[in-house]
Amino acid sequence: MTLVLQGTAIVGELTLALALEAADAERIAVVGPNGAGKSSIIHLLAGLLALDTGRLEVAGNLWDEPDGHHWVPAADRRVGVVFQDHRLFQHLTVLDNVAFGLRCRGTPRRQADASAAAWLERVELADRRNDHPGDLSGGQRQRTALARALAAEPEVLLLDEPFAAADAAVRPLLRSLVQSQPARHVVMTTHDADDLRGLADRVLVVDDGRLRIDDLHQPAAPFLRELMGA
Amino acid sequence: MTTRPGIVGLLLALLAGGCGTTDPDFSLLAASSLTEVAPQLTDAYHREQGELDIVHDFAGSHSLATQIIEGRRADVLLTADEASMARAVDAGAITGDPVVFARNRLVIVVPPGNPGGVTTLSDLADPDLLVAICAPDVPCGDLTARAAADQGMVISADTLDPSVRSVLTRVQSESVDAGVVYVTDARAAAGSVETLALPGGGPTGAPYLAAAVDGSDPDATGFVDWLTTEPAQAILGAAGFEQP
Amino acid sequence: MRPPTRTPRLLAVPAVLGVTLLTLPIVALLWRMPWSSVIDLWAEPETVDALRISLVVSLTSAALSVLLGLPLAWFLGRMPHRWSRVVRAVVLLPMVLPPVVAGTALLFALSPRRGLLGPALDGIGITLPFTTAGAVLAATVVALPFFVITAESALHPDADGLEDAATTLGASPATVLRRITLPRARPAIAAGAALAWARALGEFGATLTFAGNVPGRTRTLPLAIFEDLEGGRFESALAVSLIMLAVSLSVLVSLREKWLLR
Repeated sequence: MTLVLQGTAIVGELTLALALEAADAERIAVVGPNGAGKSSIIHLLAGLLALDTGRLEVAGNLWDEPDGHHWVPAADRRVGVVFQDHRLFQHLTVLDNVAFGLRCRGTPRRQADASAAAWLERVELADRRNDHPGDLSGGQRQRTALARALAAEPEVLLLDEPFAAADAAVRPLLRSLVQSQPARHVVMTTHDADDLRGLADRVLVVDDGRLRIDDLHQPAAPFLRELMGA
Repeated sequence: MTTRPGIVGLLLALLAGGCGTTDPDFSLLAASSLTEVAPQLTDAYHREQGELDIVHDFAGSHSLATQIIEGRRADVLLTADEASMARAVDAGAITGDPVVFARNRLVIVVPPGNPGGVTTLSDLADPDLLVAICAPDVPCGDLTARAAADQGMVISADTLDPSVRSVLTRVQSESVDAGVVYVTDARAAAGSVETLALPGGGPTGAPYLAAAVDGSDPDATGFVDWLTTEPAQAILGAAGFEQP
Repeated sequence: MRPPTRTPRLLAVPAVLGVTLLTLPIVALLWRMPWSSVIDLWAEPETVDALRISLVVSLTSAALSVLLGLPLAWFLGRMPHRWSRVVRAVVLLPMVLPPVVAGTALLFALSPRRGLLGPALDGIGITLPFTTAGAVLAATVVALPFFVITAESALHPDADGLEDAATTLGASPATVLRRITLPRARPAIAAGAALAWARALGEFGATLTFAGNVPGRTRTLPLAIFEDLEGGRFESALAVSLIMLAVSLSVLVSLREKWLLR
């Protein structure tokens, strides 16, 4: 197991009981009703939320262990996050948004820009590189956010409802990008049956703070059964 | 929800209180340097003349003249110089002729113990000493400049205050080492400042003028005339003012 | 075409009254302005001096407000709530305090003769009361709160999660501040600086009390105006007021175009 997340995290009123293990290159989908704590799992992995008990370990590195006072800040985790609300930098151009992660990790400007431009090409936004996020449609913003996360060359890719705003026509493209990217782990939350079929090796159902592994083809949880349109 | 009518009611009451007070029998606008003596004068006057509801307001002479010119209702105006009174007269805001009722003289005041070691006016030319005087545009400042010129020196002032009272306050609060104020101010602050006379007593101050404001109570002229009588002059003399 | 907006008509009454209340005095000021002699009055050396002092003092004070206020506003959004409430109250206090009181309190603190710290500072050769630096200090005490209150909400980290997003991309705290927090808050910072500058330019009470009134050293435009009024020199007071109106209007308008409307 190269990704281990176990223990508890208190998020507002909710106490999350965590039990998540994943092997290399395994893609995990987290499903569950709204407010069940799906985004919190993404934030725990990203380093924007801390565990209250237990530990988080990725590829042999301990990222979070409250008992051992161990904590790796988000900036040092090499994650790439596509937030549900995208969180694009409004004051930067689309290109600067996508190049941001590389620049932060010391890549020279020219090289970072070239890499960002390549990513924009892949998400079919090459012609919008000098626009600001405010000028884009919701779907285009989502693609920018995905490009920004992937351009940072993350070890762990975290996607929070990544294609919810994307046009149906570009979803296959985005899925294939996620499929072919080299991150060690992918954890995504989704409400989309096609995302589950196309991207998830394992499905985790979160309900009322509890995590359960489920089978995509023979779902046990009523929620997942309904989602898959059984 | 019960508090809201309460607050509204309170505000209304305050507004009503502000608007509804009846005009006082007698309102007196006086130069700041008359702050202590004016109530004594009106007290004595009303003891002679019977109960009067008197309101005092003190400010710089020019401010008061402006207020009257711009239509403030008042009965008597007392200024510390001729220029401001002349402005009120020229604007037609005054009834009858202004009367000179007192003069004033300058002194040096220092904080208790005289930390700056000031002995005479020429010491105030020392730039290391913190000195407050009146701005040249106000009567006490004009007089201060004349006193310095008489001695052939220039005061190295650290502030030129628009009112003689703020000069006094600076000395009282020990923010400065010396100030030049009217002898009457120094006397009013006796105990919190030490007083040094100017060489030769300094120049005689500008006249204090009194006048009844246009449209004032008939009592106003009576009060103005009374100011030059023996009882009023005794009170002014006790406060340090000189005879007109 | 956008259809005409429908508004409750009753709202117009207080709105128009408000605008009237604010513009009527300005109109009256212009009505009484001695237009024929305004230029001559401006050319008086005292007026030129006061304008120079006012610009030096208000601009320095605005810069100081940004320099001190920016970190202060930043910390306010990040310290525990129970502390930020206390600190915010203390920072905003000078806004409700009459400026004369603020000036007097500064004297109590810094007077070289009897102040809390004044004698010690005097001992090492720093005297602030009755100096231009003192005028800057007095103006900053009243201007700083205006900057902090304007900039604070824009520097708040919870505003939109952009700082978190930058962190996940590997940004160090310094990078987050430089590339996200400050650029994002730029309009609010500019607005706060403009407000602080305007407040410093109009500052009177604290300056007179703490810094005194000496031509070419601490006599700013408001002090010159007050002295003119106390000395019965109305035309000069009006002409100097016109400078203040013109200077502040032009700066605020240019700031608005360059910074605030972005």
